[in-house]
Amino acid sequence: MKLLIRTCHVAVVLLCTAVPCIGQSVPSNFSEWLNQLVQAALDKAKVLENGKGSSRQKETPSGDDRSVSLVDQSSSTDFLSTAVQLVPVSNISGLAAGQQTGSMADASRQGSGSGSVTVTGYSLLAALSKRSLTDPTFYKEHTNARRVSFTLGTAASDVATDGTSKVGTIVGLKLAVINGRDLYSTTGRMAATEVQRANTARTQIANALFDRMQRLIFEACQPDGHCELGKPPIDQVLYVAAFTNFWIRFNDHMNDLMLSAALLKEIDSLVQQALPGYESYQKLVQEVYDKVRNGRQLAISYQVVKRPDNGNNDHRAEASFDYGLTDRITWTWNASFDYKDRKQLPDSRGGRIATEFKGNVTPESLIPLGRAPVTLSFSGEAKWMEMTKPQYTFQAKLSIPLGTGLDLPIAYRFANRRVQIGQNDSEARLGLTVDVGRLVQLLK
Amino acid sequence: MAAKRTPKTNNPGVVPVSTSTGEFLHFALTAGGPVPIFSFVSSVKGTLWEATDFPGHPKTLYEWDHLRNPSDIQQMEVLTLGLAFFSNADYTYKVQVMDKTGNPLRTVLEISYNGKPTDSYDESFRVIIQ
Repeated sequence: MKLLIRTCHVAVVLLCTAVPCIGQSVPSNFSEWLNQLVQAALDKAKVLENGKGSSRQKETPSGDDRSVSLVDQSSSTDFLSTAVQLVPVSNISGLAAGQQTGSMADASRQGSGSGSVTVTGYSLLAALSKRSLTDPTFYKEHTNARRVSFTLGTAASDVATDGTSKVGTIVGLKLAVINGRDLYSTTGRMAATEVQRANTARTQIANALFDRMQRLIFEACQPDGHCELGKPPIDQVLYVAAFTNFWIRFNDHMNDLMLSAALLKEIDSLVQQALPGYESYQKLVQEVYDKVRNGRQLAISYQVVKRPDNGNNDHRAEASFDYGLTDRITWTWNASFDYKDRKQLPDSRGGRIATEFKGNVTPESLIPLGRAPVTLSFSGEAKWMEMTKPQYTFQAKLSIPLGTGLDLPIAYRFANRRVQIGQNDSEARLGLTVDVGRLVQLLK
Repeated sequence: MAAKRTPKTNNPGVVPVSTSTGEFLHFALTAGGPVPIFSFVSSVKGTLWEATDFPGHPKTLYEWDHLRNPSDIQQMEVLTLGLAFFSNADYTYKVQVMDKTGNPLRTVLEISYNGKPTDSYDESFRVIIQ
């Protein structure tokens, strides 16, 4: 028997159409076996992989000069996230050994004390109501609560730029005016409707395939599992009983069936006939997925870094816009009005524009609690303030997910003027973001 | 396709149901949220249910009966549940044979699924009327 099974598997491999790939690991259950057949055929047809989109901001807002974010995203996390600046980790420009030690110490002093917590109105409501963050009814009923987020944190300070060395307090509020990526936005609702329709069409195809495949294998392999095409037809009176007995015996023992090469070819033919239906589904879902992930988002926000004693207070009113340029690249721009409230010197006002191109190196999940992708971004900022020369800053950042809800952003920043980043022209920054909502859900 | 499938009671492929004694099938689909998408199809009657047909959709539990109505009874009917993971990562599908008073006689299948947004899974079995 074992020899026959091996022979069959070899035959499967030799046929090398849709069927062959199952030779690697054949499930014993018929339902699993059939699904794997279709999957193998789809893989062979090189159907598109999962992907896409941009990610949401979990880092401290750009208003804190020690943040690893130079540009603010229009949407925050769905729920609640925290960010800590572990930075800076090195002084890139001061490479002379003697200088580096001093700069590192200075840099560490500057970076310490920065961190923030961002929470959406939705997660606050869910916590107060003791509801799951992905509870379908709650999620639907509180769509607007996901538009609002609050940030609270601390900002490191130094006397030269902030008027004090004491840690400042960050307070922020963000409102997503346009939220094209929410599942309950117009785009999201249309996407769900399209996927539902396509899912029904695919299910009908799967139903017909199951029907035909189960009959084909029974008629070729009954009664003992020795398969041969063209066996004499079974008496219709006995058909149902024979069919039932056959599948009760072999449903969980597909490996015991001795599938002939001719039958494998017939099986492959059935799968190939059904394949376009599965491919249509996958294509549509991928397109719809891209549409949602690349939806437009526009947010307005206000944030202040309030410092004690004679420290300066930094106010920023900002508009942020995100748009998916391609299935993996998101373009973001910020425009803000900045106001520096100095207690010992005249105040200054100014503006800032910033832009960022962020690419997903790995696929992103649409599920709210899904794993974040690895992202690589390049950003630039131009800032004009009264009584100060223009400042231009560029940044490259790599964000690596350490696990669900835990990301490690590493940034390299260069500025044309030293005031922008303390005593250095450029430096590397390291952060840590914790998406508490995802972590809590994962641990449940 | 390619969703992770974890059976507690695996799909038997064929499900004998004694409709003459009043037995029928009870289906329960538990969804993790936020927006479940699924279809339930018959080889005889076509599409029987979609997620949006249920009052209160989206929700965490969808339940329906089959073969309770005599017009549903068809020999060798294939029933398929098609799951989309586009906006819902976790499902648990349970099918039970019930007696005429609505008490469960046996569990036909109980399977949990987890998938990525572009994944799908189709679970089918054939009803044998006895």
